[in-house]
Amino acid sequence: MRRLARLSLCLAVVMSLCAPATGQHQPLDALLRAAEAGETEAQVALADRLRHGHGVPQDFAAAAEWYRRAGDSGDPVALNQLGRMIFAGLVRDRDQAAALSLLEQAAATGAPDLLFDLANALENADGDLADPARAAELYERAAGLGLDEAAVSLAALLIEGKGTERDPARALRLLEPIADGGHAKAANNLGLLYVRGEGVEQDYARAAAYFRVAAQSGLPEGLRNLGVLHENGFGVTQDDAGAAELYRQAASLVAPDPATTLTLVHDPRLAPPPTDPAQIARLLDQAEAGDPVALALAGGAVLTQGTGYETTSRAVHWLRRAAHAGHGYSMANLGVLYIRGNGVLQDYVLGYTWLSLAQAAEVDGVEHFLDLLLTVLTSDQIAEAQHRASELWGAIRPRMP
Amino acid sequence: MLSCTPLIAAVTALAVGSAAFAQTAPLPSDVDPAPAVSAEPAQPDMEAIVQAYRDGDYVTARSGLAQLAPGGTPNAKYRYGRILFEGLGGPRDPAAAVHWLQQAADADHLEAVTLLARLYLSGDGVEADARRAVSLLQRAATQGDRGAQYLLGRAYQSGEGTAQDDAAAFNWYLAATKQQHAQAELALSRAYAQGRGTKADPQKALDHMQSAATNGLPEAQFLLALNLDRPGTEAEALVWFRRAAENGVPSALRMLGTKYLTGAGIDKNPDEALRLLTRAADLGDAAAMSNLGYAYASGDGVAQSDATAFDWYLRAARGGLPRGMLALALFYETGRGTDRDIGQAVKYYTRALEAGTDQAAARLGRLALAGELEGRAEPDEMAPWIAALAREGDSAARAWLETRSETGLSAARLELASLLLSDAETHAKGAELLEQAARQGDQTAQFRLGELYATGDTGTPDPVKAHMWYNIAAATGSVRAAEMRGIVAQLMTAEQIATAQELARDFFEGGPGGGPAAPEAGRASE
Repeated sequence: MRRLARLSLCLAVVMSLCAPATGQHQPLDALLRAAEAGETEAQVALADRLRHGHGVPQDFAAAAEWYRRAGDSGDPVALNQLGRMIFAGLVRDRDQAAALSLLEQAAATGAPDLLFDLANALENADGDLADPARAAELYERAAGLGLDEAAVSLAALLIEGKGTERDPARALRLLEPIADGGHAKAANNLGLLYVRGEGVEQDYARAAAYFRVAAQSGLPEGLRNLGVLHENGFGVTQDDAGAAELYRQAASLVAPDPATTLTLVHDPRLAPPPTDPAQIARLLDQAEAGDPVALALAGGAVLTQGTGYETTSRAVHWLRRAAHAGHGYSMANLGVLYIRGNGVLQDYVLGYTWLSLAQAAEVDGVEHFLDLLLTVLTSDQIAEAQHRASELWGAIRPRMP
Repeated sequence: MLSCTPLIAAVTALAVGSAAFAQTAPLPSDVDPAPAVSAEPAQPDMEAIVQAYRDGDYVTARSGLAQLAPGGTPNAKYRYGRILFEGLGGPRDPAAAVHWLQQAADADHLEAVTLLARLYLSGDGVEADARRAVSLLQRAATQGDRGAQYLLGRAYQSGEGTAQDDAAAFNWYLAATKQQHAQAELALSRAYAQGRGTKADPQKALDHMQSAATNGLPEAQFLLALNLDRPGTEAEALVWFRRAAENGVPSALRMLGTKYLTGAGIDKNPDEALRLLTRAADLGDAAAMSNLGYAYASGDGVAQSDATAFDWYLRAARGGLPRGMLALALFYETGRGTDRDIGQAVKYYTRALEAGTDQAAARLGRLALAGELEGRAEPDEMAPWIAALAREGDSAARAWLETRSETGLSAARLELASLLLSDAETHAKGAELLEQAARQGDQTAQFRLGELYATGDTGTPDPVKAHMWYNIAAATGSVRAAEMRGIVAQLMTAEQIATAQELARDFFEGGPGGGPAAPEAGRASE
């Protein structure tokens, strides 16, 4: 077994339960009035909008503040959300003890997803705050209430013997039905048990089948583990090239570098930009004369002419003008170029600023970029970017269609 | 008239190394010297054909094979494919060769399999397909074909068409060597010398080189001669230089000729020297041309003739030899063997410099300071040349840089900064000068400052400042700066990147320590 030591268990189960998107379609000013009048539900809805940046630029500080006010009235969802934001370092002061206390209050309701979030935080907290034994107990409760995610996390603790007695056989029983339903992490961890022959007879072919399920969902651990089996020819045909490709895919999914992975977006409502130089010249004339559609197309049209600095910097000029004129997709592309440092100074703050403005302008696909950037930017940079975005929003919002 | 002393200094360097050898055409000895004579029962026709081939009557051989090949033995098909490939007795036709070789190969004719593999490797007459070539070679090699064994060794060594594997390469070289394949034996010698695929063993390396040389491989003879060319074994070296020279190895001809010219370890013999060097030169060896230039320039053993020397240097320079370009430029500059022509001198100095001959820069610097380059080069082009002269300790050159730096010639300022940075005593001053240029918007200075901080030449590396300056230079279009920004970023924390980007933004926004108004594309503010 050359490299089986590299097989990886998928432990880092992210808090993947999304906040309910309530109040997304209520007018913002009505929501604001109701929130200020002390309506808890409106406060939570407003905070959700500010947290995710729907129709208004993301503002974590303001979101946290509204969650706090709703939480003061005992709203468990608000307490949970605030606790998660603090735990994830999305607000300036990353105070894990405070976060845990908020998550604790929320979990007192006994709702399975709130129990899960508390357990997850307890499992991943730093230093003395970590409490895997209690995490295991809470996962057990949430799993008992039917939450698959909790069963998967519990199984991981059982496999590792962390916070609980090591019991691969029980982990296997927990994982099997969930993995068969196509759950990526469950499938990966189950595959690992089959490779190691823990709690079950060793079976590389079945392991490979489970890793494949995980790999197909894009789970990096699953891709890598399947690669290890291919490299060694265990349970599958030996295939060095195939293994290398799987490793490459896995690596690109783990900590992708936004400076190289963010891609430009195109406004689906517009025709593709012209590529013919004469047409582009005419388009730029029209944009210069104030035609809003031409302006929206200008940056993209210039970008079709090349990827060099000279072209990109000209595109930046047009994207900036269109963005200030209220065109959401131009805001997104300007943000992407700032993140990549392409034709313009590399500046994550300004990149995030424009991307969150694009998100506020309801541009598709931008939320994913923002999530990716959250892992790269410092909380100060995020706060600075959100501050800049809300200032720009006041000027840009009235110009938007 | 300028002094001629530097000329001699520049041309005394005679080519002796083996580097030039690599440029000579590969010797075609990975093909056996003659088509294999068949062990098959010879048809009467075939015997006549073989005889015709041996007699050099390729037209007869070819037309005979053309008749025999269809419906003939695999050997007839192989021979026909081979003569088509060689282009003997008619035009070269590699595509048709592939057709016949494939037929012979299908009938397991080993030499056909090997030759077909070579065509797949080089993409001659067929679309190149290294994997296919390797699989053919494996087939022939495992059945004992030494040519295939050698080529398979090469494929494993280079990783072309298969996974790179030095140990496998070594084993196949060894197999082919056991069957007296001289090229394989030379490759085996190299493997022992470098410890590739086997334990390094200098003695075995030498033994196999000796054996390959004894078996008549000119390349091995030359390499062996180089190896032996040291005190104690010079006599032996001479023997092998002679053998390689007789076999037409240009570098051997040149080295032997040069020995005769200078009398290094051998009785001086100018006539023999000229004969050998001329032969090497005729084979295209530019270093030999340059050495001939030296011989006539110095008049060492021959009738001194600047005009002849000039002609040889011209040929050497056109043959791409930097040393020849430098000597030629000196001749033009001083009007030796030709009319004085500063334009041509500048041209060849510049080419020599581009080819990495740094002495040319100081020569250009001297011309520039003498005012000879007015109208031929701009001051910013002259700055690096004058800096090269300053590096040799020329105080006038240094003064030029200082004056021009103060009057705002950015190239001069950059060169002066490099000069100051290269000396520990003035290092801080150099860094200061660079920073000043960078803050005034000089993109090259910004990039260099980034480098300075990245490498820690200032003391400890400062990735934040390196990232900041690379980012600033990238924002106005420096591609290398953008690449370097990505590289230093990999070694930085999110906090460090945040700080670096904030400093860069301040630079363009005119914040703390800020610089000039940024160009549109570099603008950070909204």
